[in-house]
Amino acid sequence: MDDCKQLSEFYEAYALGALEGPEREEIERHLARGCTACTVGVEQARWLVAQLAYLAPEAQPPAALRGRIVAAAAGSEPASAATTAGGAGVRSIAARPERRRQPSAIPGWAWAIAAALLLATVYSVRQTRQLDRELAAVQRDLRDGQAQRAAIESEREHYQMAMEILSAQDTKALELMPKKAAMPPVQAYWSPKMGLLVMSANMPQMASNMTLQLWMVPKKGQPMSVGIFRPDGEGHVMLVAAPGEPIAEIAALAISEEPAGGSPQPTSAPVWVGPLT
Amino acid sequence: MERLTARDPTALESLYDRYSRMVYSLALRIAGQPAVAEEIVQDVFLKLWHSADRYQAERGPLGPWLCTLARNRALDHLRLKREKQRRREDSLEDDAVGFVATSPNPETLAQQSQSAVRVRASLSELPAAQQRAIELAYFEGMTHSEIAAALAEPLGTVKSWIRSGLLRMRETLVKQE
Repeated sequence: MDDCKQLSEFYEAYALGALEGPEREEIERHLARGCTACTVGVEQARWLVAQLAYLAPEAQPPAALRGRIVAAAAGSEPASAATTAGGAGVRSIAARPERRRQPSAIPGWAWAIAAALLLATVYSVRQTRQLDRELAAVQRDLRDGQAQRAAIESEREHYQMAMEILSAQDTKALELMPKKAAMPPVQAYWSPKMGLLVMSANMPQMASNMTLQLWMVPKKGQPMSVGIFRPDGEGHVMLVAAPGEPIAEIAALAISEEPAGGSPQPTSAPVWVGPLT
Repeated sequence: MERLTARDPTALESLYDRYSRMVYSLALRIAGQPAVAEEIVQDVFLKLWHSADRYQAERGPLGPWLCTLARNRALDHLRLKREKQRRREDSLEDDAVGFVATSPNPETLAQQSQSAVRVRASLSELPAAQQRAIELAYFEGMTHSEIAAALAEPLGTVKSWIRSGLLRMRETLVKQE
């Protein structure tokens, strides 16, 4: 924790991307090993840095950009300028009065070769476009597959940690009772060695601008944020946190409803509380 | 987000309508060229479309998440452009078309969202040097030592400006919430 206290003065610079050298490497080491204090500290710093986007002078994107993006997302190309021009060209040629055909100096066999080359070119262009479309579809599927694999991997790691906490010999189970009617209780399992697992089911859905935030309430001092989480579509919640504060120094676990992104300190009364007796 | 994950194009349209202005403004401020800003907006929204299931709602509102993607892409562009310029040793090249950011006038401020007004007000409360250091880090992607060199100030001073400036901004923003 002493390390984390020293590192805490660099969280903002790290989130901003301005930090360099050993301090940056040290924070990255803490984040990689799931250090709760640094994860929460950097998360809060990222929220602050994200607010800086509002400093950019407002500008309006061109109206055509929306259509281009939606068309690209749907996997179809918008009508290209070349196609449109080609269509107009055909119409304008057809509308012209027919001119009397002049005898040509080019022999018939040359016309035949030119026609064959033209056909081959058209076929080749069509094939290339078809291949481009197929390639784009394959790339899209690949990206989707990679994203899905990453999500599954992340979920698997979460469940792995949860199983380790549940099966650890030093795990203490406690129930966080709701202060609001119609809210289900929340179960917490705390292993000083393996970490903290919080889970529940049948949770009501939340407004998109709100989140749940888990706090450790120490016997002395202010609550410390453990992490933020939201019920999934089926009302399940699960939060897994790496080992943090010594359990003997904590009086209770509490969950409050906070604005999305979480708060440095609780801004509302806890909805669930579980004393560590 | 559920609709987007289910590949509903109208969900992408709704999210574009809501966030594109914010993302475009940021990309334009950093990259400085409208064509590049458009490309970044397209990349960001297509990434959202293809990786909707990777976006974790627990990370907070979608707008800042999209802006973080846009900022990273725009800074990549900026660094690449600087590198090319360094190699060519031709500082005059295509800078003439660059977008010059100007401070928003009161009329513009009035049209902007409450969040934008609050963040700008919290920055404006800082001394000018602190503002400049934070802007160089955020919009130019500079590190502590690069900012120190750009402002000809000691490294420790720059570190302290950025940290204390951001903490003061956080204090102001949290109080206003």
